[in-house]
Amino acid sequence: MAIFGTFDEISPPEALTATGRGTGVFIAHVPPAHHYEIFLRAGSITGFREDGVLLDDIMRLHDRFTDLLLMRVGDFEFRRLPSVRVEGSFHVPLEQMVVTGLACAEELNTAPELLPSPETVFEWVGHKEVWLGDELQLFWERSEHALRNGSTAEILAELANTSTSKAQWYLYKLRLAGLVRPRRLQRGVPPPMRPAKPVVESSTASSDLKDDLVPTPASPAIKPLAEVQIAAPERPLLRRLMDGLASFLR
Amino acid sequence: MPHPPIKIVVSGPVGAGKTTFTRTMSTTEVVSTDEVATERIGKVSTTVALDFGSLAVGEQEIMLFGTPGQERFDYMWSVLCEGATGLLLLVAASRPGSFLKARHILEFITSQVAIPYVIGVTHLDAPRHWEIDEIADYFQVPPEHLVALDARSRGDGARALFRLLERCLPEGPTSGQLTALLQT
Ligand SMILES: Nc1nc2c(ncn2[C@@H]2O[C@H](COP(=O)(O)OP(=O)(O)OP(=O)(O)O)[C@@H](O)[C@H]2O)c(=O)[nH]1
Ligand SMILES: [Mg+2]
Repeated sequence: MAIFGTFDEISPPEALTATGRGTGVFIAHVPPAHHYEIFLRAGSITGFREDGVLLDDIMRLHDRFTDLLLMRVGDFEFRRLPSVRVEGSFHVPLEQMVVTGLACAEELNTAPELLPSPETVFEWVGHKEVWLGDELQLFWERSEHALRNGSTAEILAELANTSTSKAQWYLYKLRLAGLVRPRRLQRGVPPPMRPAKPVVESSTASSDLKDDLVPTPASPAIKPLAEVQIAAPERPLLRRLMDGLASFLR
Repeated sequence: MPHPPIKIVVSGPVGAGKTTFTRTMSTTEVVSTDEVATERIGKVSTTVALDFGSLAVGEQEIMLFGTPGQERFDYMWSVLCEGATGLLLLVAASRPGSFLKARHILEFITSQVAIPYVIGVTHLDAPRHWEIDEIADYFQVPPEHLVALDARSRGDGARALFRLLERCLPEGPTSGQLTALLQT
């Protein structure tokens, strides 16, 4: 079992979250010569070693952990350990630490390519008591209703009166908090209605201006992904194909 | 009378094994558009437009459409997915740097169209790699939506296509005999 990678490709919040509810040590090397070890037991942080020194104060833990969350370079690895070898005596849920740490990070410090497409549809997962910080909380309140039907960063930006890139960043945080997730459309289930866009009262002049700004698709023949038809072959055909493929193995 | 060809989209980041998979599985000549890579991507050639191949399973033809691994071809998604039956997303377990892009592709597509998919995990023989379950967690999908394969193996490729078709069944995958058949 090995979870490893670099922070420029998998951001620290996601790298840490990838350890799931595992027990072991998350090791990070950050240039020029910093070395972190975060001890985890079943998804809770028990200890944090910075350059060999085991932290003993919870405030210090929050401070150092938040710094680590914002790293853009470095590499990481998660090594599973038996519970007895896990160091430290804290007991702080990792997920909560990540969300709290990120809520404090106001600026967009995640490279845009690390964020999902503004057209990806997210949906509401459920209620949870998490502290989001004022800004994120406000976005959540403004978008919660639309997210129940599935919504995108592009649409939510309009609803919440913010920029698309900010909305992408908020969705990224809400996802780490376990409040939203990308919608996965199932066949047979009709896609939810797209939330109505807010009625923007505007003069003809400004809507003309808007039309100028919206890039037209490269070709009118290319339809939006959401309108694409998926073929659904009938069961006997699928079964025949599966039998045929199974015979490839014999 | 055979049904019109079934279309499968094979996608994934650079070096995941899309061209290799298409070549391994095709019974007809594969049309690829590989070119010498201009960027440093860790291998000599990369696909710049499409890989196209097809295989006959009994009387029925399956067409494989491999997408280019490089992002700039994003606009092609709706064209590629039109009329497709399923999506096989390949990722190399040894290249965690490519997971995020692959996850974004999967989420972009499956949040907008109800296309059945499986994630084919290649390069599990590399000395350092993420395990299937860890990749499933990272993609936030159930482990049964993933299948291990070496893109160079025809048996593995057939198993991956089988799993994808199983997910296309109207009643959803059955844990029935066919899966058991495959494991023998
Ligand atoms: N060791 C190993 N090699 C594999 C496996 N699957 C594929 N390969 C090799 O990985 C290399 C890259 O595969 P390609 O088929 O070129 O990858 P691609 O997805 O078409 O890449 P782009 O066209 O650049 O996007 C080839 O040399 C394959 O033989 C595997 O499971 N294990
Ligand atoms: Mg290729």
